[in-house]
Amino acid sequence: EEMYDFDSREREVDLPEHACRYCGIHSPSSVVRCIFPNCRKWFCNGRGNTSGSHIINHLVRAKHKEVSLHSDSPLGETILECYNCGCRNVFLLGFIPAKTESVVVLLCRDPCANASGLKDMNWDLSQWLPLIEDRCFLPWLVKIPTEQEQLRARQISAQQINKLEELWKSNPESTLEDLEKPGVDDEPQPVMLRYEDAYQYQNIFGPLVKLEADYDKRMKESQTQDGVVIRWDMGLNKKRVAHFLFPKADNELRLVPGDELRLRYNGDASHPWQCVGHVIKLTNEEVALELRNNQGVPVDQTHGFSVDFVWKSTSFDRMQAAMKTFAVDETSVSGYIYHRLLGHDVESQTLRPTLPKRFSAPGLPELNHSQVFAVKTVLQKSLTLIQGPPGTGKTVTSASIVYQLVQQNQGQVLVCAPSNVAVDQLTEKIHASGLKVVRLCAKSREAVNSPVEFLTLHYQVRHLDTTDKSELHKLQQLKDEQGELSSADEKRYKSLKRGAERDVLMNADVICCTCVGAGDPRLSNLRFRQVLIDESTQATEPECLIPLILGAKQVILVGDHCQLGPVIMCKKAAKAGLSQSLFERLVILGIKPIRLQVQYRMHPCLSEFPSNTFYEGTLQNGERFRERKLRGAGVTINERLYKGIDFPWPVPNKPMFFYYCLGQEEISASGTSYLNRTEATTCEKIVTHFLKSGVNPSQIGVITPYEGQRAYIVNYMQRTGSLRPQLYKEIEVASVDSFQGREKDFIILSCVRSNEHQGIGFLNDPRRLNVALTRSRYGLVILGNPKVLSKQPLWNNLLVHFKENETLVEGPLNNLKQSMVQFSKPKKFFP
Amino acid sequence: EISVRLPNRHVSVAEDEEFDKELSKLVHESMESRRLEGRSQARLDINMTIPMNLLRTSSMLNTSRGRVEEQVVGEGEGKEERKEESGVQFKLLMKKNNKQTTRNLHIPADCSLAANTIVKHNMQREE
Ligand SMILES: [Zn+2]
Ligand SMILES: [Zn+2]
Ligand SMILES: [Zn+2]
Repeated sequence: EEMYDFDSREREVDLPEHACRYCGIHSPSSVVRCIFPNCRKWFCNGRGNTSGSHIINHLVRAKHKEVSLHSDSPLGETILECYNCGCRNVFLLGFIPAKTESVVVLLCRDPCANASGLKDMNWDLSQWLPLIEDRCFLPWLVKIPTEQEQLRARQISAQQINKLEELWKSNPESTLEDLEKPGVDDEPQPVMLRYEDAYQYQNIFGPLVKLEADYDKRMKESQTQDGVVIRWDMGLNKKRVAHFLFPKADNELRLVPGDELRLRYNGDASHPWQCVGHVIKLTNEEVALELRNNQGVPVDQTHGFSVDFVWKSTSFDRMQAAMKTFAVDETSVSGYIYHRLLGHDVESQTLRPTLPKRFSAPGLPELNHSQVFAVKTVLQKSLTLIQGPPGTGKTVTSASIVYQLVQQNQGQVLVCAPSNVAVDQLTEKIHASGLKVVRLCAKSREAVNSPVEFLTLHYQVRHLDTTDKSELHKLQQLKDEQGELSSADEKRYKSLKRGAERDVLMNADVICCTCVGAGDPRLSNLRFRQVLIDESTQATEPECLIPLILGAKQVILVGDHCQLGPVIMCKKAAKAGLSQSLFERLVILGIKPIRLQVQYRMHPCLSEFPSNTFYEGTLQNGERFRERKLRGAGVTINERLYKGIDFPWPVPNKPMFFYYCLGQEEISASGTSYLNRTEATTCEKIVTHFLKSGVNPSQIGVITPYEGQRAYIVNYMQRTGSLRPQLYKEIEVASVDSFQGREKDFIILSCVRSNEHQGIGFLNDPRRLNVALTRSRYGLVILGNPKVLSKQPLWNNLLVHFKENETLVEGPLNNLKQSMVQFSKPKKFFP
Repeated sequence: EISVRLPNRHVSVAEDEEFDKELSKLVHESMESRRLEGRSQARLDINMTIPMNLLRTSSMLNTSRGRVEEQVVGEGEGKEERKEESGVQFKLLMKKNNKQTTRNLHIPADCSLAANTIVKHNMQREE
């Protein structure tokens, strides 16, 4: 009656299917089958040469959690699951005996075996015995193979197990023997500075993109969540929406709107149900998932759902396709751009356009001198890099450039950025200059809220109101009402829609989308001579290539290589150089970026160190008043600082200090991150002080490099803070990386690391420090251990800076005193 | 506690430590996901009655030393592997297609579940 499809895979000679994939042991009472859908491998409950039994090793390494016993085992073919709720996660299951009878039952730890979950008097909850004890299954449930058996079996070490599990992620049928084969452990070829031709470029980057894609796929597909509880809802478009909590693991999968998830319900064994949907909203850890199909949705059920991530290869496919086009299609970019991208020495190309009288664009703030210089230079060159340090008006400059490009009448301008947020911001500004702009969204994001929805292609198509489009309108209405159309109508609808989309796109001055979005089939027939990529330092090279190969002759890359680069998950690919942006490589090749030099974000005392350290002292402080007025805020810095905000800054006109915290770093509960309780306590005190002195929670940000500390601070403030928990809840606590590109009035930076012998981890990266130091407008408090941090040369400089400014302090918050702490000698010289 | 030690057991500390970390992470994550679920979870509908008809009322205790439990071992030299083991014959209550069933489950005396039952049983006999 079991419903497994046995696939006939090629097995090792002599061994039955149920032999342990590590060691070959195959006595039915000693083996267990992993029933993860794509895995279904057998393992024994022996430890062999490792500290945990083979099955536990596998479950942990592969992050699989469900098993079944062999049909010839004493219990017969049985899936281990909670008697009461059906939970199959073996890490949560345990036995509970009845009080009077010799009966046991398997229950999950929470809620079923929990006193509040189970009030039945027949069972003795106090005796709950976990299924897994000392890293193996209870030996009387799954027998430990005898010593002789283990000695006769294949000997496999922990390292070999790790490698084999790694291998299975790309090829589930690999065997131990495959580990010996050459090629498995080969490092990929690293990126270069110059490439002979686009084929060589593709040969280097192709495998790196593949590595990253494989890693991404593995990681996302292993993120199945079970026992998910659903709250059902119906969208305005009559589509079913499922709301549920999706807890995030340490620095792993980050869901974003538009991601695809598969929702499954197995509770009704005769009618298992599943459906794919798109994430349309994310609030904290609650996900809103719009289902693709309303049919058969078990809306009367709320418990026992599972959620899988549906991995899509689209973005990686588009990168690979772009590299191929770059190589085979001579018209993909101009000759000049081609040679420049490959790092060839070519004479810089100067254009002679008629320059405008005014470089600022209508509807946008007046440009300052370095911004004007940037716009002017861009117009005269085929390839420009613009470096925008924090708060220097990158987006306004980019929008002004786009405005001027359009005035040159060279066809439509393509504007991209790696992230949707950045694209939306830029779209808004370009729209403000009066240009006709279309924001192209991925189909999966059409239901996601966006501040520029009225500029999106799908919105514009829906709201075209000319008579010749009325047929499309009628069909659209019919589709909305009925959910679907007859196949003839659907065909007609699609062709009308395509036509309308083409019209809207052709009619635009500017098209905005993400870099990956530029590979959308709806753009495939369009050509763009002028392409601007904002935040290009956060994109990988192949990602940047996607918008460029649509015919680029004039390219503007905007970014800041002194801030964080693209996020690469696969260590191998990152090490080989995929994490280096095109912008960065071009800088190394000698193309000097134009730097925007006037910053409007930070109080002058806050910009001094970043300017001197990361920007050769070139940052000037803009006059904030004018900028503020333009944005409608009309508040001067002094007003903000001194009126109503009573905070004990050690030096009154310098709203910053480094607070000496002698705390201990600890490994977080998850075992993968760090936290520091002393710093968390201090952080709460400072936050409370800010709040009491009239600062709004939304004005405060807490930054920490570690997820463990982030979670701890969030929890600690709400639990311990003396004010209403809701106030603390509204304070954003986030990683440095997720704060990039944003700002707050007051920032508290908790450094966490505080040990004598190990390093300072994440804080070592100068670019991360730059981002951390440049997020606050008015006030910055750093919590850390100067003794430890000063070992790192850059931090040593920072500490000296605070000391010289008499802002390195210790003691209670209401009586801060200059700290006399001795710094350590920095390990090596910082350039 | 059962631990099988092989003479050539090679202990690699770094790997084991990492494994322990990963294991506790997995447990932690599993607990965490349940906890989150719990927040919005309505009361579970729990039917945990013991189906007396499925249990034979005869004593299922077998605490005498003489009971022979056959060990399943690899063919060949397994003859001397027949072991004497004392313990308790339990019934494992399960659901198959929503119907209650039981399976026999022998739990050795050194396991807390069996040990407690034996203690209780002896106490009852003394009374
Ligand atoms: Zn598995
Ligand atoms: Zn094994
Ligand atoms: Zn349960």
